[in-house]
Amino acid sequence: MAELRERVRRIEGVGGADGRAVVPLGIPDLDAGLPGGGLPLGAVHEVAGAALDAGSATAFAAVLLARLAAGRGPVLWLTRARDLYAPGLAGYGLRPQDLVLVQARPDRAGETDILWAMEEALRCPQVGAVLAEAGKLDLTMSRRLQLAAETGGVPGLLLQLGPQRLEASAAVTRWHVTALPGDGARSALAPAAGSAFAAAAWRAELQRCRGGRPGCWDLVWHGHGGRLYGAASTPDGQGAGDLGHAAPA
Amino acid sequence: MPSSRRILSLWLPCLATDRLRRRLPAAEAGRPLVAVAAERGRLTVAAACRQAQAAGISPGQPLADARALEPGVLTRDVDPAADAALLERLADWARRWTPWTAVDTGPQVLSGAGGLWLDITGCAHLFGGEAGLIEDLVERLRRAGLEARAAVAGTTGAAWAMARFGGPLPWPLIVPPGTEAEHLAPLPLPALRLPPPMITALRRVGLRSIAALLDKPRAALVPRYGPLPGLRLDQALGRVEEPLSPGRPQPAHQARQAFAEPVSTPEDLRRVLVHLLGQVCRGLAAAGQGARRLELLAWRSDAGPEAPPQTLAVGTSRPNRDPAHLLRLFQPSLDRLEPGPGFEVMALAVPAAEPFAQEQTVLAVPPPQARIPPPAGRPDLDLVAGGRDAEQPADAEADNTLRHRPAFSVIQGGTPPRPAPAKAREPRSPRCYQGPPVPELVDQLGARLGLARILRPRPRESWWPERAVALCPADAPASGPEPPLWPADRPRPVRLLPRPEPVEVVAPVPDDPPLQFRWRDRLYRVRHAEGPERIAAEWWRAPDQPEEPLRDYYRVETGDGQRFWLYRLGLFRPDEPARWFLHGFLG
Repeated sequence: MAELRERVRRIEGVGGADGRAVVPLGIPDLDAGLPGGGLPLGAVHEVAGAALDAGSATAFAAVLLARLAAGRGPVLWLTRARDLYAPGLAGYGLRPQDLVLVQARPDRAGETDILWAMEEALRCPQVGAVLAEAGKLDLTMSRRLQLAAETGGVPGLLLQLGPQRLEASAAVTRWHVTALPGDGARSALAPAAGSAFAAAAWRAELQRCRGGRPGCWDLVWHGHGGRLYGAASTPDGQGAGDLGHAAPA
Repeated sequence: MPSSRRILSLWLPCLATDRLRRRLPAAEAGRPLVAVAAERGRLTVAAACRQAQAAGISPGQPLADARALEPGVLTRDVDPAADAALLERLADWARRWTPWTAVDTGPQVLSGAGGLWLDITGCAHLFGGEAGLIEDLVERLRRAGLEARAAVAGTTGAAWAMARFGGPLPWPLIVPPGTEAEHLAPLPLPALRLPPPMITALRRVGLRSIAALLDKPRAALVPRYGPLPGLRLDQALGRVEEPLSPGRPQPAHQARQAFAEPVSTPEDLRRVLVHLLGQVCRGLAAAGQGARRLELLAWRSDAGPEAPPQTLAVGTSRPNRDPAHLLRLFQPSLDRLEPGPGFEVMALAVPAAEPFAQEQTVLAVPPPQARIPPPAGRPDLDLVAGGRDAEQPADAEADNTLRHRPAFSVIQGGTPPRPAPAKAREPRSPRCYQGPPVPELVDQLGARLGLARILRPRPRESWWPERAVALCPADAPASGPEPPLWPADRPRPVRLLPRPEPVEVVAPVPDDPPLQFRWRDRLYRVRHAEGPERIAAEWWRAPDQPEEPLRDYYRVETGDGQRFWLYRLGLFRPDEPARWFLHGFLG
C-alpha cells in the first residue's frame, strides 16, 4: 500500500523524482496527515494570512522555509515590499547568511518579475527554498511554478497576505495562518519560555493538501529551542489550551 | 625599428562646412557655404567649403572680402563644440572596423577640419584588406555627406602626413611597412605636424620638403629649431615609438565578427553570440580570468556614421567564463536588438574581468537523484550542489570534509554515498553549502531585475532597529568573517515598517505600556504587553546633527493574538503628550 502511494506521488510529481523527498515538521500528528509524512520538496506550498496579521503568516512561512531549506542551499525571498526585517526572521530559524532578498519593483511589473524570478529559482537545484510574496495568481501560473519546482526539486512557498482567496491552484498544500490568542495554548503545547514573546502561537489551517488530510492545528514556535510544537485544534476554535497531550518534536 | 602596427589616419578636411551643409534646405544645398565667426568686432570666415575655396575664399578672410569674391555665398555660424561632438560620434561609429579608435586632437592643417585615428592592426583582412577598408570607410562617409581622406601606414606620423598631403596618386594611400621614407620624402614640411612658425622659419632657409630635411645633419637643426623637427621625422619614419591613447578604454578581451551578408534572424544572432562568447571565453580562460561585465555591440547595415552601435550589457555577480551561462544572461535581452535590414558587424567586449578563482567546470549540475534527501527528515549531508563552480573563494569557516565529498560523489555518478549514520545524526541542519548564493542564478535574476535588487542581509552591531541590519548586494565579495547574529533574547519583529507610523494610545500612566491603541483607523485592545526596552540613538555616529530622541519599545499582544512592536518617543515630559509609534509586526 505504501509503495502504491509512493508511486502515485511519483506520478503526481509530488516529492521529487522518487516521491520520498519530504521534510517532516516534527509534529507526529501533523506529519501523519501529510503525504509521505512531511512537506514534500519539489512542490509549491501556499501560506495565506490576513494583511493586518502579516506577522503571523510571515513568521510561519519563515519557519517552513528554514525547515524546507535545511541547509541545502540559500533561501530566496522575493518581495515587492521593503519591510522584511532579518533580525526578526533569524528568531524563526532563518539565518541571515542563508537569506537572499530579491526586492522587485513596487509596481505591477514587479509582480511579473517576482513570478518570473520564482520560476527561475525553482529550476535551480542549488537553491534551498524560494518564497514569493505573490498577489494574484492564476491557475496557469501556479501550474508553471509547480512544474518548475518538480524540475529543480526545490520547494517553493507563496505567501499571500490579504483577503482570503480560494482560487484554483496547483499548489500541493495551502495553509491559512492566524495568530492564536492567549497564553493557554502556549503553555500547554510548549515548555515555559521566559517571556511570552519568546514563543509565537498560530492557528494553522491546512486548507488543502494533495495526497494528504486537511486539518487545523495549533502551533507554537519556541524561539529558544528553535522548535515547533503543536496539536490539533479543538473544533470550537477556543484554542488548544485544554488539550491534554503536547507533542514535542 | 619598424613596428607591426598599422594606423589609419582619417581626415575630414571640410568637417565644419559639411556638417552645416547637411542641415541646409534642399534648394540651397548646392551653393557655396562658409562658416563664420565674430572676431574682433567683425565677421571672418572660419571654414570654407570646397566650392567657396574654389572661388578663392580661404579661412581667416573677412566675410566682406568673401562676399566680394562670391556674392552667392551662404553663411552659417561656426560651432566648434558641435564639430567636436560629431567627431566623437564618428569615433564611436568607427568602432565597427576596429575597437581602437580615437579623435585626432592635434592640429588639422586646415581650419574647420577634423581627424580620427584608427588602429587597424589585424583588422583589415576582415574588410577586404587595407584598401577595402579605406574604400568602405570613405564611401560610407561620402554617402553621409562628409568629405574624407584616409591613409594607412605603420606609423602615426606617416599615416597623418599621407592622409593630408599624399596623393592624388597612387590611390588608396597605403604605405607598406618600411617604405615610410620614400613616401614621405616628396611631401611638404607641414606634413611633419610642426607648428606654423617653425615651418615659416624652415622655409626661410630654403627647406621646403621633407626630403630636404632628411638630408640635413641633425646636429645643425637642433641648435636652431629645437628637437621637434628631428623628433617628428623619427616618429614618422618609425625610429621612435609614438604612443596614442584610444578614445575609450580598451577591454582586454573582445571578439568581433563581420558578415558578408547582414544577419537579422534571431537564430543567426544567437549563433553569432555563441561564436563570440566561445572566442571571448577561450581568451578569458587563457588569461585565468572571468568576466564581470560583457557588452554586445551590433552595427546595423543601414545605420549612418552618427548612429551609435546597439548595445546589450550584462553583469555577473562573480567572475564567470562559462559560455552557456553567459548566453543565458544575454538570452532575455537578445530580442531588444533591432536588426532592421540586418547587422553587418557584431562585437563582444569584456570591459570588466577579474581573476577566476579556480577551475571546476566539470561539476556542472549534479544529477537529480543526488539532490533528493532521504526520508524521515534526516538532512542529507551529500546534498550540496556540486555544480557551484569556484564560487566559494576563501570562505573562512568552510568545512572541507563536508564540501568535498559531494563533489566527488557527483562526479562518480549514480547515487551519492549515504553519510555515516553517526555523522548524520549529529547536526540538526548541517550547513553544507557555504555562504555566497548560487552565482549563476543571481546573475540571471540580476540580468532582468538589476543586480542592485538582489541583496543579502548582514547583521550590524547596533541596537538601533533601522541600523541593525545592512543589506549588501549579493554580488559583493564577502568582507571579513560573518558578523555575529543578533542577540536571541530580544524578540524582534519579522516586518519593520520603513517609517514608524504614529498611533493614538491610551496608557494609564505615562511610563506604562498602552491599554489600547488606534492604528490606521482601527482600535486594538492590548491584552498583554512587555517592556519597555529602551533604545537610544547612537550619538557618536553623527555628532554634529541634532540627537534623535530615545525610544521605549513595547511588545504588545492584542486580544486577537496579533503582536506589535510599539514605541514611545523621548522621555516623559509633563507638559507634552507622549508620542507613540507603531514600528513593526512580531510573529
